[in-house]
Amino acid sequence: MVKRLFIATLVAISPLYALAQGLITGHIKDARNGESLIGASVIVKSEKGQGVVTDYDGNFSLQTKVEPPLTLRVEYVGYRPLDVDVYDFEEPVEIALIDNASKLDEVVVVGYGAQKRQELTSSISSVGEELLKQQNTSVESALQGAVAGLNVTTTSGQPGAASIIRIRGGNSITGGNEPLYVIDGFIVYNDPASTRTGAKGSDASLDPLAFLNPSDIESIEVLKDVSATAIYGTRGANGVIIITTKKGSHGRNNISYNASFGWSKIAKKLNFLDAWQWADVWNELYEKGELGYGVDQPTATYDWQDAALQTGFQQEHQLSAVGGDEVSRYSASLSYKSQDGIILNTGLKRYAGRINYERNLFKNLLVGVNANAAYNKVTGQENVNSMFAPNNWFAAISHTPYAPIYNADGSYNYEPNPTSVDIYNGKVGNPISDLENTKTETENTRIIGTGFAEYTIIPQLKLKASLGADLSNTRQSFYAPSYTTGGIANNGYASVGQTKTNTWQTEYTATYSNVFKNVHSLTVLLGYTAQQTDRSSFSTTAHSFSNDATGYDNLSAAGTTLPSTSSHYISTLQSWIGRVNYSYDSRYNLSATLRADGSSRFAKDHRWGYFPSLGASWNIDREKWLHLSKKVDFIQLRASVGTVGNQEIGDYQFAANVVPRTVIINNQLATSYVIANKSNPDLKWETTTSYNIGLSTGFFRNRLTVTLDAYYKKTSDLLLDVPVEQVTGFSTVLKNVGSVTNKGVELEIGGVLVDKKDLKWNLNANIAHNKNEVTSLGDSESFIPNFSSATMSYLNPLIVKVGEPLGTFFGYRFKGIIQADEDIASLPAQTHSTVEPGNPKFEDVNGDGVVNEQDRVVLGNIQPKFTYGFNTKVTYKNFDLFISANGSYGNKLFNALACRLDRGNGYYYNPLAEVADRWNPTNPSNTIQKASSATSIYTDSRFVEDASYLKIRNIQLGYTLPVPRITKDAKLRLYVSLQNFFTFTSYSGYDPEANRNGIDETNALYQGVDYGAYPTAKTVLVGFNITL
Amino acid sequence: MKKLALTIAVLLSINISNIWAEQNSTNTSSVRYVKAPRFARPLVEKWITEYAKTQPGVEFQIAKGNQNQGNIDLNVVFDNQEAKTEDFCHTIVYFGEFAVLPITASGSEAAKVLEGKHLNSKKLKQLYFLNDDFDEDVKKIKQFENLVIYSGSNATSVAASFAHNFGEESSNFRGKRISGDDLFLNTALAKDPLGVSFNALPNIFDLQSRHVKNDLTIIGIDVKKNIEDNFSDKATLDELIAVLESGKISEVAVEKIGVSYNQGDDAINHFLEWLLENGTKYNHEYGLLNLDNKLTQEQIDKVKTTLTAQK
Repeated sequence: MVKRLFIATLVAISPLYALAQGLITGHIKDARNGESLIGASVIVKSEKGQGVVTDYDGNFSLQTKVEPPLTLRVEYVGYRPLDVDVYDFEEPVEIALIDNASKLDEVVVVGYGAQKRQELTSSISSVGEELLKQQNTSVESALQGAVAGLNVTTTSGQPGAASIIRIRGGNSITGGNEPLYVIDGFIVYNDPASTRTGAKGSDASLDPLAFLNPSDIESIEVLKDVSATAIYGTRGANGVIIITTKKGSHGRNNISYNASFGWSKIAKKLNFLDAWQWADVWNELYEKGELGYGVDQPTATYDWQDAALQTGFQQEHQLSAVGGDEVSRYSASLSYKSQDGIILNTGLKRYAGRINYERNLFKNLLVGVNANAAYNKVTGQENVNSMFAPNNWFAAISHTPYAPIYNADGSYNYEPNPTSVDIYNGKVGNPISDLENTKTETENTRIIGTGFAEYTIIPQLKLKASLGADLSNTRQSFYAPSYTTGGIANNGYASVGQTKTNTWQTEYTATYSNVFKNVHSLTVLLGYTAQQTDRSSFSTTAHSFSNDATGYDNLSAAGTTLPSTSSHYISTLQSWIGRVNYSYDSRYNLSATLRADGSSRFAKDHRWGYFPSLGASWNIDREKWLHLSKKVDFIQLRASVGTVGNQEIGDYQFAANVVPRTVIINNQLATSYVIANKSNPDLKWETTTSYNIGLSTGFFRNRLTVTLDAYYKKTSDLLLDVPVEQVTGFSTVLKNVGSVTNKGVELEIGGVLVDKKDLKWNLNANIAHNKNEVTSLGDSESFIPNFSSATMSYLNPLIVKVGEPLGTFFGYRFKGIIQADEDIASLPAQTHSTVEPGNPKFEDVNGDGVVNEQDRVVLGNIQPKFTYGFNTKVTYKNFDLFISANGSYGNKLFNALACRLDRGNGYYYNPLAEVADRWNPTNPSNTIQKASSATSIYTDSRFVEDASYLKIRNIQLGYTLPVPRITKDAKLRLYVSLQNFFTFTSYSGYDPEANRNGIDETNALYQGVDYGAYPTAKTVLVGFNITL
Repeated sequence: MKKLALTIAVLLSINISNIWAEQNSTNTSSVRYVKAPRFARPLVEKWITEYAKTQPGVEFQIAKGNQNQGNIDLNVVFDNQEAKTEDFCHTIVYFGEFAVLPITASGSEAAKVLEGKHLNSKKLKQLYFLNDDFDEDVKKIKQFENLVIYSGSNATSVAASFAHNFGEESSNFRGKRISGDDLFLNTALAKDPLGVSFNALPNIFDLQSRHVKNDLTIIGIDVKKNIEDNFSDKATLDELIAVLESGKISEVAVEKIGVSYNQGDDAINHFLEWLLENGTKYNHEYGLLNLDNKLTQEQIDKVKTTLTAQK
């Protein structure tokens, strides 16, 4: 009976029991942006084990037996946990979590791993998220002004051209100074040689990083001090830039399309003489002078600068998809970019694709692939045009305005004019036609891919293996048709070349990480890695084509083929790495690193180098005895010391190379072999010993962060050609003799000035000072880099000198113009310029009564006193405004263009407009000399100009429109951007960042010369981004 | 015994049937459901009663609990409510305003700490919100640090209105969050002697006696001397409403309250027309403020335009 009663009661109340259980529903979102949080855990505190996670829309639904009021605990990775007292279940619970926006809780990507910013012992700066979100034209443009101590110089306005990047100054004199890049774990040295082939013709080298679409980048970390870079051993001396591309996220799938369209114009034009002014110069010099004939007064003037320019249209489209499920995540993108340069027939085309995929095959085994692939085609300009023009652009802007550009029927004018020198069959080249019809192309196909497997043996121990390849293929093609300046002498001139650079990398690491007794945190990394680079290239040049139809596509149509060249190098690097990080109570942090590198680039006895570093930091704010104001959240003192190396000195420099030479024996051509250089089996790494102390702070709940670093770096064993006794058969031998120091301070400030729902305002600023100095050149005190292979060959404006920094200018000190009433007899004689009224006078520094080469002095240098950058973003409701700017102060630039075009010689070119105000007896100018028929030029202080600048890089205004009716995440963003619109500088050339020397723009020996650089563009960009 | 068992089973089953039946009956299309925060429910109930007298054919009911979540016809919302629902088919008409005052439990530790204080906006910000340390104007008041702020987190909470009045976000409140109607903020204060909170006037005042509820005390704010008493426990609801309607006081959050509805329903449009013309006269009785005449007229025009368009 009792049993029946029990059953009956049970049957009756069971539905009630279910109803009696409370059903709590709710929604969890991000307090800042209102986005739903997927996978947040919600538990009833008093009910052990009762918990749920939020679904795709951030919603949850939880059955509980506990009567209200009860307390819910909500937790989500990266957010502050929150307790909410629930008093009734009537309404859905709305919970907004605040993220751990504190920079200190961030995990920073470091070499071969990641580390809490709080436990860092090294100087690492991250490129701001906002900078990366902008529509950047290249990876380098995203880095500009982003980080203190990272100096990016955009040397050319040519789309796709390389930039010069220095972290904490240049260390090497003859070796590479570019930082090392680590792209998704693959080590890439940004070697300009990988995009050069030896083919003639191309004026710009392709940026080796052009294969990366800046929109694909998730984060960039800049490793500056030795504690961070020592793990990269022989390649860490110039700093390391770690680039991580975008990854998918678990449980969320989005697809987005971005399109942008832009129009570019030259940022600044120079003024040249018009036809009447030019005719005045001509007639002043030549009518009664050496030529004995004048030119008629012109009836029109022709602006060749304008004719060479165009409004460059650019467009970029990118389709990307990111997402994942519980066990895998992916991110993929495809993009197309087409950018016309502002000079005729120049531009860039890029097709790029990328995929990242990761999957937990098993609970403790993660596998993944990262692959980036791109095809880039740069259409540039020819690098040598005529006797005095280093490229087509220079030829065009300096062309006489007296000569028409076009004939009456619109065709190009090839008729000689009074200044024409290269006349063939009664015709001359036309620089505008040269730009239009000469083909100068660099194509690069590059794939960087890595696959990895990470096995978690126990939660504290992870093993990781990865294998990757970087396959790069560059082809350069040049053809100057028979009617162009480059081809007119030879009836068409072609050159093709190809460089294939394949790099393989394998890496095995074991990482043990554990916390003992809650206070002792220990991470140990051990690993082995090997990399092999295989580079081969060839180039061929041919001329005398029967017609212009096929150009470089069929060199057999050429009457003459010049000797071809080819080369092949293989270099290997194998390394052991080890690092121990120890942290006590997040108060005292220590990091010890050791890397052993064995490189085939060095002789047997010097192959292995050992690069240790030690770093320590002290989080003072965590000391209980120190009573800091509540406004102070974080104070960390850092110090590091260590040694890193530089192996970027070229391949097999230690060996005596046997090279073929063509000789004539019995009137017959024969090939012989000669030893080209003296071997040096003692050749070893350039090594940099570095010290860093730093202070990192956070105030006002880390809304204000200030980081200050000071460093000293000494690079020794620098490779230099040292003179040896003639009996050896050689004039010089490459030895490790030089040394260079860099010391400086850096300051970075980040602030969240306003953080309201509708109004947010962030500001980041940085400033850095670096003092570079050559401290030893072995037995020598100085040497002058030879520009003999450049079009400005007789001008050697630089000196490398002990006690001076790299990039020091060397020349005569200008003292004004000799005036008519001056006592000529009292002036010292000048070997390079006659002492007569209207000519420049120079300082007789040694007072020997004659101004000659011994009177050349240091005229300044390319090193800025300080560099700075800032960016700010204001978001108001759906609008956002982003402004970034950077600048440099105290750096000098040799304005070789002005040096050539400021002398009032109208014979070979058109001078700058200021020559109209030149000295003459009735216009006693003290700055512009009189017209001169002399063709020789020399370095003097007039043309070593202050190239300090402030550039507003980007002003971008955006409007974001959520469209939740399509999907929950759907939004449309419209933006307009003004890029490089404002430059403040006193530099008189096109651009204070310009750098073109005609030899090697990245080589430390030749930097700081502006000779016909491709001018910078300012761009208006409009675009939209749809995310679904 | 057998009979007893049967009786229990039958009774319980009937009970369940009733629940089931009640739930089903709410789905009939002749009923319009109104969802409102609790402090506005007495007013809504009053409307429903009065409207039924003039339009007996149309039935309005207050939606309670989770029932009819997908079938709400009228939603009482605030002007700056974070989840405001005005789009192409929903619109909002405002019928009044509500005011939010800072409160604590009478006789509590917190009340002692705050006794005699006349807090201005900056001090209220310090008390209630995670401090914006960039603001150096106000020196830290140490006593505030021990007080625990209770704030509502539901969509119908006046927390957002209170926060926005001080230029803050509701996520920026110090202390503890509660979920549930704002009425439970009073409950939380009763439990925690250091608790401090805020609430809408209908939740602070006893609508019968027109005085502050016995277990609550209003935290003094910095107002002119002549109206100081209106922001203290001596206040009567009607006097306070009169003061608040006569001019803006920066320390007091005053927010428009309205009804979000689907324009396509003629019965609702008629109800709202009635509400704006006849229902707002109950605002004061239920602790709400009236809109100014201009704004009221705009709301009436809004509803009339909808009605005309549908004809």
